[in-house]
Amino acid sequence: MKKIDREDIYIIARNSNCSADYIDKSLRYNIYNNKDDWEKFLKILFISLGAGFTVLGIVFFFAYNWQDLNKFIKFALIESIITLLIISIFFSKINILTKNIILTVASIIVGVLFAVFGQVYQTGADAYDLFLVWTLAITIWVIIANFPPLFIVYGILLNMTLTLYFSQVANIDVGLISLVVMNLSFSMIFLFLSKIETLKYPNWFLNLLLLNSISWLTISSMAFLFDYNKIIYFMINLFIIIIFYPFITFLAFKEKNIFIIAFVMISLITIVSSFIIKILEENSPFFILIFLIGSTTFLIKSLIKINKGWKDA
Amino acid sequence: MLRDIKETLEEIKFSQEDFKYNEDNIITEYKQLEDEDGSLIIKIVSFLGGIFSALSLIALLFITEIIHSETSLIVLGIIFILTSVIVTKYVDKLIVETSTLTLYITGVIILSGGLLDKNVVNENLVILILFIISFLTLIIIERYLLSLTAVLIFNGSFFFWIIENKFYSLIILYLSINILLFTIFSLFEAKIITFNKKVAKLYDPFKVSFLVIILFVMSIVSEKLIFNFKIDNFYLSSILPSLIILYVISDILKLLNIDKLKYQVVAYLFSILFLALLFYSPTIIISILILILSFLVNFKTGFSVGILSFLYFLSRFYYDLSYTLLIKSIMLFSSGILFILFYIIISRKFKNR
Repeated sequence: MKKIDREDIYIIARNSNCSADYIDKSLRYNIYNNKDDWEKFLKILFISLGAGFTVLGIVFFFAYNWQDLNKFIKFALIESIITLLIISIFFSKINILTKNIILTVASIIVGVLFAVFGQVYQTGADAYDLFLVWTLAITIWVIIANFPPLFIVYGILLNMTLTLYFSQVANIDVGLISLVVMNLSFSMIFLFLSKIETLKYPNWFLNLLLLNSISWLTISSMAFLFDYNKIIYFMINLFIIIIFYPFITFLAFKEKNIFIIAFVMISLITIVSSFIIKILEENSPFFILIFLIGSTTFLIKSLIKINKGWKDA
Repeated sequence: MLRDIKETLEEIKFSQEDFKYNEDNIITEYKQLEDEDGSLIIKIVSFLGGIFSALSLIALLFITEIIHSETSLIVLGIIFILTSVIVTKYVDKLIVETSTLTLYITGVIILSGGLLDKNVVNENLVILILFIISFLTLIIIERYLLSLTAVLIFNGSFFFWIIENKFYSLIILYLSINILLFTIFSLFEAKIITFNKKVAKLYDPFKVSFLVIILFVMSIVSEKLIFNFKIDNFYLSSILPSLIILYVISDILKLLNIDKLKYQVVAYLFSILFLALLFYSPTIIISILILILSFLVNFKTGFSVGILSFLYFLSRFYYDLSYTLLIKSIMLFSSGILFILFYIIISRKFKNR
């Protein structure tokens, strides 16, 4: 049986008297996941669920008994768990994926350790301190593991640190620009590193980072647009967009990544719509309507044309 | 691709004596596919464009006072819905889809608003009218996005009827029916798409609508979003998905060629234990079911949704105030150990093979 895709099977089913049995066989052969896919999936699923559920069960148990435990026992327990996890990575024969999952779990428990430290000694530190030391503490593990899910955890911690710092200590507007720059830099680093053959990162990871950067740029543009006092920040944002968007659009064309092109266009449509609302205020609905229908239709036509061009090539 | 299926069509001819196909229709469908590209991102862009345009249109109608009474709401609503359906039927092109979707959504919203405002009909009758409109829309048109919108209104009207009449315990039945239908649509894909052409065209919109409704209901009940009501015995929603998971496990074991009785017994025992431990968290069990079914039939959207909803409802589990931390820790720890044991067993089993 020659391999065909789902849409082909649907077209045959809709336009013939082909039996359900043959369509079923065709779906199972061409589309549905096979034995190898299931073996891989089940192994990842069970080790992730096993590690995750066990750790959560332990965390909840400590949370239940927490008030009654001596402070040294609290530290000893958490530090023992981290130590055991790290030892298991170095001295066991399990596969690399499992080791990376264990390291990710250990990285999260490091944060629990710092939280307990702050609670026991009532350090009175601002919340950003916790996330800052947590981020710094796991940096070397993150670099060595080179594991995309752990990079995502690290990215979340960086964002939490910056957000809390700027909302508690410094200027929130500078904070928003800093978040934009930080997330952008994070995604750019991985885009460049991905060019190195040995470091090729999965597409879902790169797409997620770029989507995150584009989202931050969009949100910050809209936030600054609706405040007269923040026009300078809006201009900085605009400058970043003028540099960043053409660059990642060029990369997206090179990599034939239709998602990034679509995200960039959606972001631009959103920012321009906000601009129209800002300028025209009560008179904006008519122009917004025309703009939205026109731009969406144009975007759809363009995406279809680009996709078709890639398929024909 | 057309040239790829020509070989497949020849193969089918050998295996099915009375096999007939309509070559002209197939060529037309491929031409449309090449021109339009049904990829997910384009569907999302069209859908979002339709919704936001609808909101702008409604704002425009109110600001310009074109809508100045309940009667104008009703009349304009009917005009928009009819225009949308007629244009879609006779201009079967993606290019007008955003506009027709905008008109349809706007029409439904302002028609409902007008009927409710006028107090001519009560809420139950409005729900029935929307149900009939969506049903008729599904009979007439076949475009994906408009069908999806109509299916969501069709399916959703049952939910809103339940909420309106405060039959909250029926939500468990409603959720179970959607779960069952999602399962049937996943496991009997071939039978459904070969039933007839109309059903085949509506297969995808219906399947996606079941998924959306399941997530919507789970979010409403567990997060108390939009509606603030309590459902007694919501854990009963775990029964059907648990039974389905056990049924699907038999398919998975066959696929993996696990035919030795001891391994099958172990697999079922582990599954029953795990489902029993999480019985009081139906949202987690339902998310796992979505994940497994979607992976089984390689439904990528459902698979991503399954993973995200599973992680989300698992994290929400911590905030469930019905159970103590001790009970939660026992449930999670026991499940975790079970999974790790299962991982060791299957790793050995696959390695030995």
